[in-house]
Amino acid sequence: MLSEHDRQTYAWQLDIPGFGEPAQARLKETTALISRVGGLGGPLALQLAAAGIGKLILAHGGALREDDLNRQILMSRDHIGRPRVECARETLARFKPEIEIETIPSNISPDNVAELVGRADIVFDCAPLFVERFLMNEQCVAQNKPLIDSAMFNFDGQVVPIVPGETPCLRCLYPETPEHWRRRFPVLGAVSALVANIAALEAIKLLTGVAPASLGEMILIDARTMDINRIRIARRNDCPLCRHL
Amino acid sequence: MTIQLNYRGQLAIAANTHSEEIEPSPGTTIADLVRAAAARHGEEFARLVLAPDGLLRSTLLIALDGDQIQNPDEVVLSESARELTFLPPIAGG
Repeated sequence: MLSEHDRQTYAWQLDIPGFGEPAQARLKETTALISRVGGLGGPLALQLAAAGIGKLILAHGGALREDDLNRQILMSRDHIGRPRVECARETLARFKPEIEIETIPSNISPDNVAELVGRADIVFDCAPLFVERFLMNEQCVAQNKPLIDSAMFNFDGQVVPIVPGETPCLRCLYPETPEHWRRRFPVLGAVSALVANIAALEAIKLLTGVAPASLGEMILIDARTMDINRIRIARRNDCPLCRHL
Repeated sequence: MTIQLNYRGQLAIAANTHSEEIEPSPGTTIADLVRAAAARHGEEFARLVLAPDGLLRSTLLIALDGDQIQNPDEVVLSESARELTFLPPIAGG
C-alpha cells in the first residue's frame, strides 16, 4: 500500500506505462539480499533504494580500504577503517530514510547463507569469489528464490537472472569451481556501476513485470565498444542442483 | 567460410585481442577451434581453456551465433556459422 509520500517520491516512475501503483507496491513489499556492497553491490543497492525497494539486507565483511575508493561509491575517504556495511547503511539512509536496512558485517558463508536467503524475496550475487556465489545459488535453488547474478572483469560485464526451475542456475553454467579466477581483478568503477544498473533493471522487471526480464539469457556488456548483447543459455540435464525442478 | 572468434574476460588479455577471424576447414568442430586457438595464443590462454588432461574446461562458456553450446566436441561448424564467443568464468564484484 503506497502512502501519499510514496506517490510524491516515485511520481516520475509511476508515469511509466505498465508500471503504476501495483508495481511500486510490489517493490515496497520486497526484501532484497545483496551479497557485498562493493563496486557492484554498492551502486546496485543505491538503485534499488532509488526505485523504492522495501528492505535491503547488506552482507559484507571487513573494513573500507583506500584502494576500494575507485568503485565503492557508497563509501567515502573518511570511512576508511570502518565496517563497509555500516558506511553503506549511512549513505543509503541519508538518501532514503524510509527504506529498512539490515547490515550483516560478514560475508556469505555456509553458516549464514540459508537463513539470509530465507529472509529475502530476491538475492543479488555481487561477491568476488565463486565459493560465495555457489552458496547463494544453492540456497536460491533449494528455497526457490530468484537470484540476479552479475559479474565483471576489465571492460566486460555479464548479468544472468536466475529463476530456479525455469532458467539455468549458476551450476548449470559452471559445473565445477573455476580454478583460475582470482580475488583481485582489473576494474573501473564506471564499469561495475554500469553492470550493477543493468542488474537492478533486470530485478525491477522480474519483480514488477513492467517489461520482460532476460530469463534464459546471459546479458553481455562490453564497455570498451559499448555493445550490449545477449546469449541464450541452457539448463543442464545433469545439473546436481536444479535438474529435478 | 570465415568465422569471427570473440574473446572475453581473461581470454582477451591472454590472446592480446578481443576478436579474430579464421577460416576453418570443413568438418571442424568447436572443440577443434578451441584447441587451435590454444595453440596459437600461448600457455596462459591454453591454461584457461584446457584442463590438464587436454579436455575443454567445463567452466568455459561458448556461444555460437548467440546460443550456448554445451557439447563443443560434437558440434561441427556449418556454412552458416558466423560468430563464436568464448566466455571464461568471471566473478568480479
